Amino acid sequence: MPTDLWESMAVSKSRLRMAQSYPKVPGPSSRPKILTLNTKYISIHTNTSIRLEKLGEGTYATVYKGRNRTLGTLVALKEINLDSEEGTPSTAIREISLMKELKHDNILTLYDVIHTENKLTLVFEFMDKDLKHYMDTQGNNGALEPPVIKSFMFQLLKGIGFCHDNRILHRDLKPQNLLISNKGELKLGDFGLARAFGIPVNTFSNEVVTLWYRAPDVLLGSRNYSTSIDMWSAGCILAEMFTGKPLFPGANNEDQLLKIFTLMGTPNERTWPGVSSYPNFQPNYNVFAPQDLGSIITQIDSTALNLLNSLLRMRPDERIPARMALLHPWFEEYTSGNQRAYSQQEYRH
Amino acid sequence: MSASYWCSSQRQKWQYTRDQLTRIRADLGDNCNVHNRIFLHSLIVKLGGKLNLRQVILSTAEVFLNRFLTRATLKEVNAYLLVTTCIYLGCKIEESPVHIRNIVNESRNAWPEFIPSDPTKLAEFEFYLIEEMDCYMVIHHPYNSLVQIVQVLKTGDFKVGITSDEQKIAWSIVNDSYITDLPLLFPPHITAIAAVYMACILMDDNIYKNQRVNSFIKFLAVSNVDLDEVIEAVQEMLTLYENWNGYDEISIRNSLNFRILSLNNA
Repeated sequence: MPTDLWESMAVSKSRLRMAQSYPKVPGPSSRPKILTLNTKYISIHTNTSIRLEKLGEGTYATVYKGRNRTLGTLVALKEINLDSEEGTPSTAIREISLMKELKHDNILTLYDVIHTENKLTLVFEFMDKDLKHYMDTQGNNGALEPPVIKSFMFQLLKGIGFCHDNRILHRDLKPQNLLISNKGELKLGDFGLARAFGIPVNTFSNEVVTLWYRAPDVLLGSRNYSTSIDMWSAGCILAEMFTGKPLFPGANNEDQLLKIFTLMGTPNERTWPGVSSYPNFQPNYNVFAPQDLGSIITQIDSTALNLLNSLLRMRPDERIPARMALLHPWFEEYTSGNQRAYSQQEYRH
Repeated sequence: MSASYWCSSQRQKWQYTRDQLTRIRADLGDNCNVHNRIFLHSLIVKLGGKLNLRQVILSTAEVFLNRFLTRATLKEVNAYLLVTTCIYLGCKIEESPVHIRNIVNESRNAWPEFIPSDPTKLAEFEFYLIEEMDCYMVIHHPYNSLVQIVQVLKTGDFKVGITSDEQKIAWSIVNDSYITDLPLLFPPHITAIAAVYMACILMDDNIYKNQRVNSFIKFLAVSNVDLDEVIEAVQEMLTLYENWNGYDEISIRNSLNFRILSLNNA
């Protein structure tokens, strides 16, 4: 009996399907009134977007280039394999629900969500490259020109600022997740690990952010981190754009902390009150003195170095928030004179 | 939880006027009356209690249910599976996921003859629900506003002290507001103000009442909220409680079950 019961759903499913605004696709007008769910989804799918080459493998999905059949525009198709026993993965639910709320010039636009029998496809606007690929192909051994870096950094901070204003942490910022169009626009993508911050703080997982861009407080086991973890990642990305190489390419959690300490100095209770009470803190770390980042990143000018130093602070509470970073003197050419106009435009969204 | 209400999809995509709702329901041929809705509410509370879930998850689930019922009518779906799916998705959105087998088992314990044992049915319905909501799933609730309003009323300007009992009543009124169309009609803070008003003005019978009423009116004037909306919200809640008096769970359940089973045989 219970399995048969489901059949009653099929009628309403197809009826509802009919009423959907989705099928703008010119289809046979004599479409039978009751189709099984799956054939219908598949026909929508194959009709709107043609799948072209594979662009890459994400954390939980494969991304393809696609072309919208009716409009001819390029799209990115993020295909998530579904385990029929598990429902829609939480990562996909997060990504869909948050990207539906976040509409901003520096955040990738989600056009559509298509469900087929065993996979979920998210249709995104198409961007030419990710930042990693851009640095590999356009950079000088990966290093970018300072004006390009400044433009990308400004856009990155605008995107992060918008997320944080909306009480959303990205949690996985890295060059592979920043998408670059051939007009030089930068947009934040891959919100699979993003989440809203607010009430249940202690439930944050510390398995977030690709190791190299992970903040020291998270590496030390913090679970009540906030917006500052995205700012650390932004700092790592800024340094990497200047040198073409990741700043802290750690092999594992321990090694990652060691690489950070070697450069930034080993923290102690005096430089970072409360550091010894983090769950993963070891009392016997090798003691390193802080290095001058300017001597390691020789390509950087002093104003940019000042911003970098404000982002890469060991203590999370000392890291500069995105909104303040946008007002940093390094960005004067973007902000001077029309600062007010700019911030008004920001909040109109 | 995330983003501000004012630029949210809840305000921009999922807020209707009463006329729009009436038209939508007329087009659907909807017959989900308030007694049916109370019954669905009791199903959500029952399953939520078994799974020991936080209130906000259940409230999110109720909004999903309300939204879904603007796209489909109760008579074409298995209400028990619908309720289970709303809670399952609500858990994910509020970042406290439960395992699909867990929720299917609990739900089957509660309503064995209506829930398929195969979890893929729930998984399938979940996407169906997501799509009917056009993938808009972030919900803003009145609870935060409620706490803020109570704080503001306590301050020097108004001096309306609200006892913890009254706060609890206001909280319960907010919980009950999900049975009505309020989440589809008004911003969450309107519901919160209506709940506070009902809890500490309408139900108050002590001698200082007049003074409290005056202070509360002063607060409404300063807060610049839409008074018509507050009045309508209060009216909606009073109508709900009036209707609740005539609610007969057994007959509602029997007719709903009969309909689901006959759908199945048809």
